[in-house]
Amino acid sequence: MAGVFTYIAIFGMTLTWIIGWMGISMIIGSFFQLPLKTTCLVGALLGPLGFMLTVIIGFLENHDKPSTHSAFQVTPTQEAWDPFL
Amino acid sequence: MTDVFGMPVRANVSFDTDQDSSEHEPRIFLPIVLAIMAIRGSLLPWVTVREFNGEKHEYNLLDVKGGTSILMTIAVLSVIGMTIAIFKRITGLTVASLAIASLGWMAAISGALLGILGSLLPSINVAGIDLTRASVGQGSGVTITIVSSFALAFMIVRRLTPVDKYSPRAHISVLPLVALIPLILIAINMHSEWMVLGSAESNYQAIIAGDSLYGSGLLVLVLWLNVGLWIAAVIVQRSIVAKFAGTASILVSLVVTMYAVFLWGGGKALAWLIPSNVEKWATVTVNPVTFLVGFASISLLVLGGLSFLPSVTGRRLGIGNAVKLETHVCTPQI
Repeated sequence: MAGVFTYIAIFGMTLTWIIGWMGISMIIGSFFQLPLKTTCLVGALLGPLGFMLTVIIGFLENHDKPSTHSAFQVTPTQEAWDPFL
Repeated sequence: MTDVFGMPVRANVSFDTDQDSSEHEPRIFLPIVLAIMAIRGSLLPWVTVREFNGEKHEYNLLDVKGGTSILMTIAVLSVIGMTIAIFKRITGLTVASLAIASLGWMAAISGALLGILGSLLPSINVAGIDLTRASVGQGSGVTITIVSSFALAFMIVRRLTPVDKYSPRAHISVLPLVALIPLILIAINMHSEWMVLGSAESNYQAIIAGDSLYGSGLLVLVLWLNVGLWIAAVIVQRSIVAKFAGTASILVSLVVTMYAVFLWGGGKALAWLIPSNVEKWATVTVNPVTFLVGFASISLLVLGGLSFLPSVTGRRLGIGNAVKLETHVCTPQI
């Protein structure tokens, strides 16, 4: 009986760890608009390291994106609503 | 190059890198080896208890109640994953990797719990060395299981979008791979015996491991974080990640070098101070592991410094890429 309880306790603790880090990575990933599948797997497989990797990839992804909301550039939304165009 | 008629032959050689996704799928052999290594690591000692009379007791996952069932569950899940991988490679490897990752986390959590339990025990400090914590340490199996499970997990992670954009399949950075060697060497030997106080002839013998030194708990944590950072630098091939890992390596190596030098110097000083009439039962022996760790930490310091040189971080190692070499020989029409 003790073996069963230990089995449940150890697996429960490990699953809590994995699911917990998966959730944290998902939240951070959604902040950086990263794919959900990627952030879930990265968090579940790598734990705290996955969280770090999500942050690094998130920063790199957002850094590489060209800025569309420049002060000197008209966004497509603004263009559509411009009555003089 | 001429043909049998002495006419020049136009050789049309094309290097066609396969764009077919099946060619880029990871081979199954390495994941199987990594899974076996992780499971084998769980059969090696995870916890080592050293008694003051010099005796050592080692425990692995099978010594825990229900440990065999836990290991069997993970092994069965891994086998299922590998079987799926034959038909659907990435899906199957993900299942197997999750099973192995759970084993890796069990090893990591056991190490963390050991640190917490050790800190709850009343300490007996002798010259800054906690002799109570010297009696409990991690075994070598933890490192093998964690490193194998991490390696398998990274094989999957680097295939995911957008991680694959930063992790070219054709080459990997050399510096992180080289830096991981001294780092893992330190990680393993942090739990080895650095110094022995007392002789085997007498019943009292204190074995001092690297993880019993003051502040070593935090150091081990940063050390593993550094291992993760260097592995991340293998995947995300950007100089900023290598610089982060390099900075952490410099910090880790400075502290570990300090530990090794102080222990060696302190041991020598203590041996010199001990009166000759008690030398038989109060000897101080600095083990070769201390020197090995010292050498590894100096190497790590140099490698950490090299991470700031673009010429070094830019060095890449070519890995197997599917290249099809086609030769079309066109003979002239007569």
